[in-house]
Amino acid sequence: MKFKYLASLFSLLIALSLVLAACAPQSAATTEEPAIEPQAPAPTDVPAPTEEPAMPQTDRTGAWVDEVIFTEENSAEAAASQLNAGQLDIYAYTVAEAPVFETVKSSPNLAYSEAAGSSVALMFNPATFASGDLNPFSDQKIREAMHWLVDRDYVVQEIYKGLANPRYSVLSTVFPDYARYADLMRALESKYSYNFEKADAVVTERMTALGAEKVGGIWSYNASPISLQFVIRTEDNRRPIGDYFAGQLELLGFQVERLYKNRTEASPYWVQSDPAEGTWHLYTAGWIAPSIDRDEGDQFSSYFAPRGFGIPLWQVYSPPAEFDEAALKLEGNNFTNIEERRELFEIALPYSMEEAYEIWVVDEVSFSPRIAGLSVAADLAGGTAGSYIWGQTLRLKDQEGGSVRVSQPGILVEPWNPIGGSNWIYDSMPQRGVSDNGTVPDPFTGLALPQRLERAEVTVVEGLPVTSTLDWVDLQFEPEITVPADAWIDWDAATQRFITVGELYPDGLTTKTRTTVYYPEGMFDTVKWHDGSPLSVADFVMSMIMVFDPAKTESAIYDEAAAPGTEGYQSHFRGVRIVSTDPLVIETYDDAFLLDAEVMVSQNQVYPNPTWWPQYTYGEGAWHSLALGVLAETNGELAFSTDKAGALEVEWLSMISGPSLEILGGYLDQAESETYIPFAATLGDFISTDEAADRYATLKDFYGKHNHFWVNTGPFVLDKVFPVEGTLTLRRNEAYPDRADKWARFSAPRIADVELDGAGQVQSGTEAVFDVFVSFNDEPYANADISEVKYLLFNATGDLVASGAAEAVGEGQFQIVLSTDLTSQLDSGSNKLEAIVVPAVVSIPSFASYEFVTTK
Amino acid sequence: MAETTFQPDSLAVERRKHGTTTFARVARYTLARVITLFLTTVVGVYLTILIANMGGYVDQIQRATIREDVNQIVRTDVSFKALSQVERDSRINEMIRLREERVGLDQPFMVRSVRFLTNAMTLNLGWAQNMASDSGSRQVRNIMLERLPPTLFLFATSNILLFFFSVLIALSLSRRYGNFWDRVLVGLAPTGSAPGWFYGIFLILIFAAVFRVLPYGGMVAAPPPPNPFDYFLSLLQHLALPVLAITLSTIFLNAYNWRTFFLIYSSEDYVEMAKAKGLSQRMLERRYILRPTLPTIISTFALTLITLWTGAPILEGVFNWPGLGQTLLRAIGQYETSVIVGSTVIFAYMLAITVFMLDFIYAIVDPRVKVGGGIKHK
Repeated sequence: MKFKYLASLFSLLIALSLVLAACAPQSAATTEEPAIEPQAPAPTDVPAPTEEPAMPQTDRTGAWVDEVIFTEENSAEAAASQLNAGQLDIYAYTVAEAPVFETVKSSPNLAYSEAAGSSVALMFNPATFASGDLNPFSDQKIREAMHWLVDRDYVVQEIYKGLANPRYSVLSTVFPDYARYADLMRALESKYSYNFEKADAVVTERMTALGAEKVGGIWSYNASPISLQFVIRTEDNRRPIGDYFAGQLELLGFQVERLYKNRTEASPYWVQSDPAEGTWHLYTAGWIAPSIDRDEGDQFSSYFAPRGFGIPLWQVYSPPAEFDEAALKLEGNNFTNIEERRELFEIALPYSMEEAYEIWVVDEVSFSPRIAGLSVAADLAGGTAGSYIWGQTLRLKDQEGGSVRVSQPGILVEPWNPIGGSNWIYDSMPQRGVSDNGTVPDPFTGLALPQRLERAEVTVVEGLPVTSTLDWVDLQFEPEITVPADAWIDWDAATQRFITVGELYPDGLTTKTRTTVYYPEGMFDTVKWHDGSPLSVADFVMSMIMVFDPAKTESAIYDEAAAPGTEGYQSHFRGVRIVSTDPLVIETYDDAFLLDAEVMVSQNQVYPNPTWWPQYTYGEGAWHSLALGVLAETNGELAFSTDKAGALEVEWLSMISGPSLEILGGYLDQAESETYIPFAATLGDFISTDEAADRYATLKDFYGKHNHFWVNTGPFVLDKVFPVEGTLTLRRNEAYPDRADKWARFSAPRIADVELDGAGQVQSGTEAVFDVFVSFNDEPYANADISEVKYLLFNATGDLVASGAAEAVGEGQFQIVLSTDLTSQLDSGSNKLEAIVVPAVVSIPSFASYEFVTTK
Repeated sequence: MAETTFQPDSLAVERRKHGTTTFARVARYTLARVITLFLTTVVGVYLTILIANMGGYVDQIQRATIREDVNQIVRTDVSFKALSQVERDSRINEMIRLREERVGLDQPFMVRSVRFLTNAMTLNLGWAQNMASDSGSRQVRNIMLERLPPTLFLFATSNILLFFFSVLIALSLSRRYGNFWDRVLVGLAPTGSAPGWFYGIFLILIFAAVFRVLPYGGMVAAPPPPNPFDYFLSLLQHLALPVLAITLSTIFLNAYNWRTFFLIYSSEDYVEMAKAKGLSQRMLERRYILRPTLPTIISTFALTLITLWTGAPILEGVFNWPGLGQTLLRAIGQYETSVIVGSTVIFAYMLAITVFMLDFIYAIVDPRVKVGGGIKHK
């Protein structure tokens, strides 16, 4: 009997524990709505990412570590637990979950790096509804008033728990243009800061003017309450943001129907539907910048002009002519100097805030956690996974060699092939680890750095607003640039030969830019493919051919999906010429230009670019491994692109796994026996039959050893792929020519610490001097690494009254001098001085403010 | 579900005609049964096609996703910036057209739905539009087959063992009603109210995070050991927690259910009579309790086997196990109709075949049952 009671008690306890577990508090971000006037939150204080140890010099070549093992982990919380337990070394994903951040921050075993490439915005449907129902957001003043309805500081503090920056405009707060136009931005931020009463007043005035009236506290039109259809994304913090904003709208007197949708469910509303149908009013949009965008001038066209996005919603946009003209000029870099560009921003920025087809709320600050004893260069926008030099910089503390376990939310998502394979970030990260390139983007500024290149010359026609920052690029201006007659400008797929400029333009051809890249002498002796084959000019020529051939109907590998992209490229491409094969020197002629000469060389790593490195859109590729794919596609057994594979109902070519391997293996035997040279009419000039035979023989050995065809030249070799087990391993490439410490300086972004000090009380009409101290890791910031230090002066009512530049008075020390004239303009009361430090070595500006009182 | 073959005795007698051979009776029954099951399968699969496509609404979602994707590509491609708006729009529209054609959106949904049905019923599973298998294949067959071994390994092992353990424990306890172990079972039965993944989270916390004796998840160590024996050991190590989670969530409740089921039979008069005759416990269980309940046990076992096909998406997610459940979940999330329908049609066929086979198995294990003829009179 006693036992019966015990058993019953035990059962009860189990049942109770289950109930209690089910009732445990959720860790999701709060969705509570704020009061009408929330308390002013504390200033945003996103903790600085973990400082990383300085890297020692070494004679080791290639990667610091011997092995990298990739696995899959969907949950950031589980990943943090595994990091803490020592079962994982780095979670290479940009996590934005505040509770996980708290876990990582509080653990002495863990470190992290930050990235800020994602933003959240509210998008409005500005169409006039065909049904005759009133759409409040068709009114420009009401859209503009929505700025005042969003308390961005509240969102940052309460929803993101500090893991975000308030964002007001189309300009990202972490990219160079924000720092460049910080004075304009700060003035706009002051103007559009949270002000519920103002939003209410504007909405009331405009709604009344539009014929609406409030009935029982609810806005009604033609005796029917106005119900706003709010499409709220559910996957991330856009849900609580949507709930918050819906609450604010309800406080204004609108009925709001919350339509909770994931990405695919939301698309039919904002992407596909006719805005005039009125199926939705507003949407929680989210945008991602995978890398630092050094020129955001085109963003006004992208987000505020019909040409920006080819969907019905954008076609309703009707920006004022002056705004549209400025946006168009900025999009096409149609200005002559940087001052003219600023004038265009002065026009476009205020208009973008007023038109408010979309208003931004935050720039999310995500983080990538890792164990404390591991360092790696992370991209300030794309995080660890978005870094192009993670492979070269990944290092275990005080150690050369070792094994690192990397996890991501996905792995081997889609087939890998350089021409049309996977573009998932989860696949891109290991691909970047095994590949190399002519240039790599600076992870902290977005400027291109020479990787395999030795130097470059960029020549542009006079009057173009191109500048250069780094000394590896020589920027020249010429009145006219003529394209040589022997430059290749197009491809004849039938004869498999390039068409020269002389053939196509007998009367000659001029262009706007010439980019000449110089590879170092002896490169073809030192750089080898992972199968041991030396890099050759043929690999570069193959990369030129593959721009054109798949888009030509006469080609054996014609892919109609490739045509639009190639045609787009050819609309500005004006020719390429191999000036010298050893050392390799290539000239590229183009009508398109960018503001930074360095980025013109790299084209933001987008293929094709003037380096012509055999780094294709979806990975690096040797001519001989691609040749197998060309054979397989020619024979209709595989296809490089998913579109063509779908159309032909054949497998999408994968060089690393699956049914493709057997087919490619068969063609390797064929290619070897025939010493096959693809596009022989052209490549035959660059490849001997002996070289072809050697390449296929080495590839066969490589395939036998690694069971895949992913042959690259990077610091790691793709060793083994285990698709079902969801893991792959990279091993250090012992033949890699660069020293391991080549990019050691990118171990940590030098985000400046700024202090501003001065008199607390200033008498009106007297000169006032304030000191700005700029440092990093408690050491003065080198003035050579600072582009500029600006100041903004706000009066007691928060209006911007002055801005200017601080003067350097010492290493890391600057002074702001407010003249007697300036201080005499200040009324008695509290004023705010803000210093903005724009470093040259990171894209993120640093701010400091100081309040002082003026007396008469 | 298939209809029962048990008929009232009188009906069975009436339906029996003079001169009808056993073969003809079985053949007639088989034909009718096959046709019925086939039609049921067709209807079930077509309903799945309609539901998976939301009656055609998925087309709108796909169109919108394609338009969004293409515009995102164009927005970030510097080559398109040099084009005029007309040229840019023209290329955008061409890219959209190609992608829509690739996924068949150039045809009305109802036309495609008939094609989906025909292909599905002929087991021509075809090609996925948005998904690839782990190794990169787009063939629906490969997408599912690659995940079948891990699924079978985890769920077949655990479910088959659990099934037999549950039945044996229940059988034993049914004859020991109210004793110590019986009360333990009754006390633990509520553990079955929580799913396996729920226990999985706690088990991971205890054995992986705190004690660090077992892995967090995955099917095998990374990188997988090259030696087959080490690979197998690693597999077992990774299998431990998910199997334990399934066991905790299943075994006690299952055993409790079976024990209650057997309890009814074990108190039948003929069992008591046999017991009074002095038959052994083993004999009682095997001949007097187990035998009359065999059809039910076999049905449950067969249905347990075929439900393995669907995997357990959440449990697989918690343990990062590469099973069919996760594949199916991903297919639903991506509106990958081909995989959803492929999975469903295979399940439907397996179910139909199982139901069909069970009719014959009943006749074999239970002498009272006769195929196409109901229950025999004794």
